[in-house]
Amino acid sequence: MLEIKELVKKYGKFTAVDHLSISVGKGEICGFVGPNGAGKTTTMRIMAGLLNATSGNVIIDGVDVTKNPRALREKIGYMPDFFGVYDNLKVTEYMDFYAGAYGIPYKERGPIMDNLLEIVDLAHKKDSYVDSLSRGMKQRLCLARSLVHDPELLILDEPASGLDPRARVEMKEVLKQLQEMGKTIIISSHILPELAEMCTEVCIINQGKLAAQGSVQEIMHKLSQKRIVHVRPLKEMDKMLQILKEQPLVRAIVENTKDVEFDFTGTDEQLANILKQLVVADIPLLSFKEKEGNLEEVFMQVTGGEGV
Amino acid sequence: MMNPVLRREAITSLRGWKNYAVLTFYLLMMTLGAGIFFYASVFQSYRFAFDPQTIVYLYVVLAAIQMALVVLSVPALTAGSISGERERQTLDLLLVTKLSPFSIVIGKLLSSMAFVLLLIISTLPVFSIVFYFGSVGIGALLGMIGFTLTTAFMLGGISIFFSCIYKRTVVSIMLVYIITGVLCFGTLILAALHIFVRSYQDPSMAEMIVMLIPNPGVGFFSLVDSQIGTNITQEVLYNGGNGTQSSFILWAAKNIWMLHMAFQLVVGSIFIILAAGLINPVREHKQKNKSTQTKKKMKKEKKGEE
Repeated sequence: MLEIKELVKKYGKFTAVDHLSISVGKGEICGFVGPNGAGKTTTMRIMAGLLNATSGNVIIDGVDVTKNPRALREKIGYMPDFFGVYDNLKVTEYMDFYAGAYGIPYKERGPIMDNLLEIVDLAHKKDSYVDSLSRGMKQRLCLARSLVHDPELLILDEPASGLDPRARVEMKEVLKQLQEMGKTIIISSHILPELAEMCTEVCIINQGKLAAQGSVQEIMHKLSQKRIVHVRPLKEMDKMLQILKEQPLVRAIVENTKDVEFDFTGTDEQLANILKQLVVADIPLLSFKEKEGNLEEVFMQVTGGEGV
Repeated sequence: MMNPVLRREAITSLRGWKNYAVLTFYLLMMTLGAGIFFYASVFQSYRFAFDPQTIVYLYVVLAAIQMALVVLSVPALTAGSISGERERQTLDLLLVTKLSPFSIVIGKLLSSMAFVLLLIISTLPVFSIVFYFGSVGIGALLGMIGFTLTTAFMLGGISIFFSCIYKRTVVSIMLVYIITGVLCFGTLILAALHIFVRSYQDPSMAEMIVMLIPNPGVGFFSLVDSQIGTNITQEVLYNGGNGTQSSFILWAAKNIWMLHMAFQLVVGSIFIILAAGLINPVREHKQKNKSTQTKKKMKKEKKGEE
């Protein structure tokens, strides 16, 4: 669906995007993560056809955005990180305006607007003035606006920024719904852990370059310096500790009253082999699982410790 | 389908108080102008009574006030159209839609033109005083409205152009006023200098006309002049110019307002096209593509020559 090839954007001597190459398949949700000034917004603006690239290509559904941005307007729904609303305009009029701007015939607009306002949970606010809405509501309205022409690809730049926890949850719910509708979504955020569970893929960008790409688990595995494994036996704690201590890949065993945690530096197969040894040794196990690493830690590691 | 920008502007502007304030001020000025005219006519009269024969000058006064108000209000109405979208952070949202930069600019221009038309229509009751006494026909009034609208078109086009360049609306308004001032007084000074410099060599009437075509004041005066049949413009230009003239020059001297209207339409269109180019986010790329294509062509041609 989206392919970015060797994208470069320079502002004078400053390189905002540096030979960035990313590929996102249809129906995927790609989290675009990076510290401030990493080049996320610049890349997204190029994708939306609002900015020219210095070199490289952005291909959406087979069409190059850098060569024919207007042809892709129907396929893209864009939500910027900062946006405003018009004064003296009601929610339905706001939606109607953008529906008109996307060339949707007048007769078809009513059902489309009702459906979208239902999705973003603003149906009860349809007669309110847009400037009277809360920030969270405005964000959801802007999301509904970006969907008015039923685009295949949604480019959402920090859709949850500045929202309180409740509004963030609501926004996440809407995005989940869109995921179920089969939309391809590129979403940038500073709140990676919140996005992680819904993103099929994550791209970590730092100083305009791609630092890591893959599923959250893949990135965690690739970039985590250690894997922490948690084991809880029903009994035979000493016997289990003895076996674990004999393993060359097991380090820093932490013994708690009922369970054990250890650092593991081997592969999945080698970890499975340890489990097999414990089972063969007839140790009754209640749980044997790898602890989920801290995504923020990984992010800080990849981006060289620059603020989230 | 109605331009969505025009439609939205119509909804939002008519809900605010600003346009009603402008409309009220506009009507007050026109009514005040008519009142002062009647008061002055009565007190200047030998018999302290209104002379209906002077009503034709009321038309001139009203048209002049209308023209001045349009010249003052159009930049104020349009100079913030694009910079306002930037300030509100809504321009990007517009540019990612299927609307072309040209239709965005046209929508903005038409909305201010529509408001100018509303101002003109609202003053028709004041103009009707002239019709009550006679002397000026409806054709003349329509001609005046047409002239006012083309002036609004040109000033609106220039205002939108500056609105695309400058973030501050005040800067754009001031620049439009400066340009209007240059067109009004600069061309007059130029023409005067021309007469002064070439006084011994008979200045050509064609050159004078060319210099005065961009002048909105001359255009307006020429229109009123031809409508009330005083033909002052023609006489001044005849006297300023040398002997024999072609029939086109004579026609141009009489109808300089028509040429000015054509000038306004051309200048307005140029600025609108330039404004559309300025807000087009991909214009650099097109230029880049063109230059690359030109380079490729040149290379091919060179190879062919070799």
